Amino acid sequence: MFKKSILTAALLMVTVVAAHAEKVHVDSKIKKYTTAAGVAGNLNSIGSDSLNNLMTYWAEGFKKKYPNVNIQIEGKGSSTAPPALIAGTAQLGPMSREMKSSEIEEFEKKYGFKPTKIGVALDSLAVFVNKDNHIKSLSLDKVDAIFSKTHKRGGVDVTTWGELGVTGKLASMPISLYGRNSASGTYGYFKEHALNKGDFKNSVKEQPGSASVVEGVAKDIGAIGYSGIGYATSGVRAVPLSAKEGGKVAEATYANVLNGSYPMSRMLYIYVAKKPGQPLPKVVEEFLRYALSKEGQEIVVKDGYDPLTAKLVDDQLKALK
Amino acid sequence: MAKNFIDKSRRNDRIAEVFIRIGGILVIVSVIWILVMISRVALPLFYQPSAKIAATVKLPAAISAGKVLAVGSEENQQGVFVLDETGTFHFISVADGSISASIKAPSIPVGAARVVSAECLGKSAYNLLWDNGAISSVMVILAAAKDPEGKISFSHDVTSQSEQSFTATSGVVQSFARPIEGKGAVRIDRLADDHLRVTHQLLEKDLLGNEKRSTASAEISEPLPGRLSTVAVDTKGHYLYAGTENGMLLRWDISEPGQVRLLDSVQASRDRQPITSLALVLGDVSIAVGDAKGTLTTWFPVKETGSGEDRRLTSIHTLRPNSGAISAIIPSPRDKTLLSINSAEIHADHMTSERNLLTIKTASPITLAALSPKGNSLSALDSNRSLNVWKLDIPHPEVSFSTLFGRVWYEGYDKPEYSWQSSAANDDFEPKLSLVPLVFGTIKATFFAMLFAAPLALLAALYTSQFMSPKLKGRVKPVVEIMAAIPSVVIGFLAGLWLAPLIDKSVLTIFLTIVIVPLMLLVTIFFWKRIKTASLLQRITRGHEFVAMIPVVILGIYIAYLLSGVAEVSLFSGDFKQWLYSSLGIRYDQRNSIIIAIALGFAVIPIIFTIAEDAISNVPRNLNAASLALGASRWQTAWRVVLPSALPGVFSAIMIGFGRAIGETMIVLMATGNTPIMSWSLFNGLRSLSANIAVEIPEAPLNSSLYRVLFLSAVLLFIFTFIINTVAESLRQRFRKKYGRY
Repeated sequence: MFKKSILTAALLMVTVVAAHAEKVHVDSKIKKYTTAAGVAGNLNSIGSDSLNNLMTYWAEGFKKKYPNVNIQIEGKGSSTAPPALIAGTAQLGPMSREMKSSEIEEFEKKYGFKPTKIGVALDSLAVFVNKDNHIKSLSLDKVDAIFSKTHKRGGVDVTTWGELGVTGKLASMPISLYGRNSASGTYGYFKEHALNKGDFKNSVKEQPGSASVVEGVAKDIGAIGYSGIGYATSGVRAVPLSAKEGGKVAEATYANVLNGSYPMSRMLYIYVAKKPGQPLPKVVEEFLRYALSKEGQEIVVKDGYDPLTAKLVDDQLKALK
Repeated sequence: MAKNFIDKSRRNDRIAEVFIRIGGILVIVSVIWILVMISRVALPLFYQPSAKIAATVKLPAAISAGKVLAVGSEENQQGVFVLDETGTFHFISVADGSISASIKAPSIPVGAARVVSAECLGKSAYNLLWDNGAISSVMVILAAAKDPEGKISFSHDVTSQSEQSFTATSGVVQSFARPIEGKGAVRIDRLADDHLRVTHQLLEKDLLGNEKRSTASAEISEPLPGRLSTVAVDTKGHYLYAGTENGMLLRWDISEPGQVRLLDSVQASRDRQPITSLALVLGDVSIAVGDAKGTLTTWFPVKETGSGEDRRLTSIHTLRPNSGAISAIIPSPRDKTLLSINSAEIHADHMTSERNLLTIKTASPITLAALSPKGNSLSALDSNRSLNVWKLDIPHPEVSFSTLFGRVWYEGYDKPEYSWQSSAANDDFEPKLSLVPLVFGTIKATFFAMLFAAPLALLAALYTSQFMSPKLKGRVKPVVEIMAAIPSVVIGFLAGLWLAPLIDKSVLTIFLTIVIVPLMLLVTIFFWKRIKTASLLQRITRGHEFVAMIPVVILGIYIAYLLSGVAEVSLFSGDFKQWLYSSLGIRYDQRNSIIIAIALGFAVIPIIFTIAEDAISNVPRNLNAASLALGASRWQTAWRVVLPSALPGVFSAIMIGFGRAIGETMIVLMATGNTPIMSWSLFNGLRSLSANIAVEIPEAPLNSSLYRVLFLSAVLLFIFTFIINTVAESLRQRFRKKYGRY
């Protein structure tokens, strides 16, 4: 783990500013957090590294409200959450993807009921190109043709920018591919949704963090890469996407994520073990209520992700009941 | 006094000897211990699968009356269930063979009396076809739990899944029903006279929540190449497959409501043997085909050369043949394992690895069989009406020698390949665990790094020890040694984010520098004597000559830079990288092997330099002096006398550098793109064994195949280094005998 932490430190050096393109406001209909009585005890969270910062910020805010609560947070990756929930070593399992059916089965085998997933934030994955690349938009079909060697969406292999309609110097340049390493939830999400469960080309350069994907694209004129929109810098440009070739093109704005026209957005979750008909332990419930409050969602914006709407928050709160 | 002193020093010697021995033994023990620990994690990859019979129960008399249509078991092999003609699920405890519950299927369609056939959909859902042609869909839940006293209690339930139910229709022999996500369902009927009919039952919701129902139906009209023998449909209801009695395999696209389109019609068995069973392998890409001779093959559509977009069904894997006609194929709900059943045996084979996992002999022919939802429990009903339950233990079916080191034709690929792509977010993914690209990457990185580092470091060592003034040498050596102290993560980081873009801009300059700088040096040396006497250079004393060379090198680089601009415009139409790509078809990747060679070389140079310099400096001065006194020049002395004597040490310097380069992780991880490409081109990246372990181990699920394969690759790396070191050491000993006699 030592090496990993060096790695993270090195990557932090790159992420000088993870600036969000537009200012997102939290839905004013989301209620402020009201403190409850008798909240104390230990809270453990094991899971996603995309959600690690967010969990830490929430824990800080939560501890200010309840000084008697002890919170430990470990973020090694989404796949560490289900085993931790099953073994009971964590009450919260943050995940950047939904549980696989095999993980749900394991959980059910132990508890006899299904895990409850609570959506806590929205995240959009962006396809980045170098800032000097003037490509107007891409469809996911084309993205598949660029990144995949199996072409599950049925396209023909694309290797140069000219084949995507880019003119000028770039036209005859080969496309240089950047992506995340296979351990990350982003890699899995992209593979499942953009490549339709196909396989990446061998020439996709796997980078150890989202920041180095963006940095790589910024330094390589013929590059294309994917990562969370929160990592965008001035050296790259997020390409507007459409789901199908010739379909409606949408930019990765908050409005487009909400109306569903941006095809690459996902929910980030916290999984909990909640017995149907019974309330969660007080401290767990209050933590989730805090994350879903106005304060909690403002932290989401601060961390570069997109907040939930009032309606989504209500749906999540219902699942908590 | 003197005696005392001798005693004391002898005692000290003994103590030191004991300590050194203990230390040495500890090192050896811990190295072996590490190897044993790593191997122990990797070893279960090669454990043999096993099938243990957990129970054999005679069907209770109450059920014996009617025909049994489906069987199933729960994953602890404690409970089984059977479905009879009346649509009742009987749950049986295997301990005493008693019926613990009988539950009638809910929501039986109007006018239906008897179940004709039942189709198991993967996990625990069943489609029941009733005698009037109606279909209902049910979900069966059976779980066994042990309470603290060891008593086993069952929970069971049968629930209805209404979205897949269809109303009565006549003349149906066999039926399939599939839900279409959010849009209704589709049923595929095999009618009495070898006709196939596809009916979509669509359900559309508008914004106001109104439901609109419509149906669209299509019949396969074209004449079939032979009499239908078996039919299969994928889980999404997109493709329909059929086998005929003369061995043809057909595939239709049925994803559009009201339309069927024949995609394929291929001969799928040898000698026109009838196809006896079809089943889709988990993931719905491959179809397994069993014929009357017992041949078991898997097929999927592959792009044909020259036909553009069209994909045609192609035979991919041939699994171990059965001894007789295959009566049924059961795909595992967890991985790409296939169970095939003939009259005397049950075979378990894994598709990707083509491994025959298990062969279970059965006393009497099996008529019905099913796997539990986790795929670890097999229940089968034989012709004697007794139910057998096996506990299957198949630890790592996808790993075999051929998948690790051979070319494998993976699903969706156009040809067999060496490929590393270990994980995905979905369960039905086919892991690609070939170690070949990784071993290749390791060798490539090491080779290029040594090509860059070894000559530089050795020549530098020779110059420093033989030609440089001792005072300067005392400064240069520590500076180079400090290079070794730079953390590799920093080198990797700089190489990836600073050096890579820099070289990207000036590839041609670098190539020209390699040619021009040595050329310029030669020219300068040729005129050295004349220049030396003619100018200020006279003041440069012996041992400082290289100072005069610094401007030459800088000038050389500058000329290379100027020339590259000219050459790029005149020879490579303005852009060298573009020219590489369009004329030679070589892709220039920013994170390429040049970067690795330089970055990894940077890490290796100080090690080789220091050890080699020490070895050369340790050659006795009297040899040197003798050689010079006999009239040999300085160069002759260094090259012919000193270097051969120092050869064993120089050689071990190279080997230690080599070992460092093989195992280096962070530089390779950060400076390459970790692309598992197998090409010797200087202009693309690589993925090494060590970087791969660092990238993948944090999230490899504990004890999964991937986890163990990563440990296996660690063992491989260990063996690599071990062999190299052993060879190096034995060669060094030989060199010492040959050259080190002074």
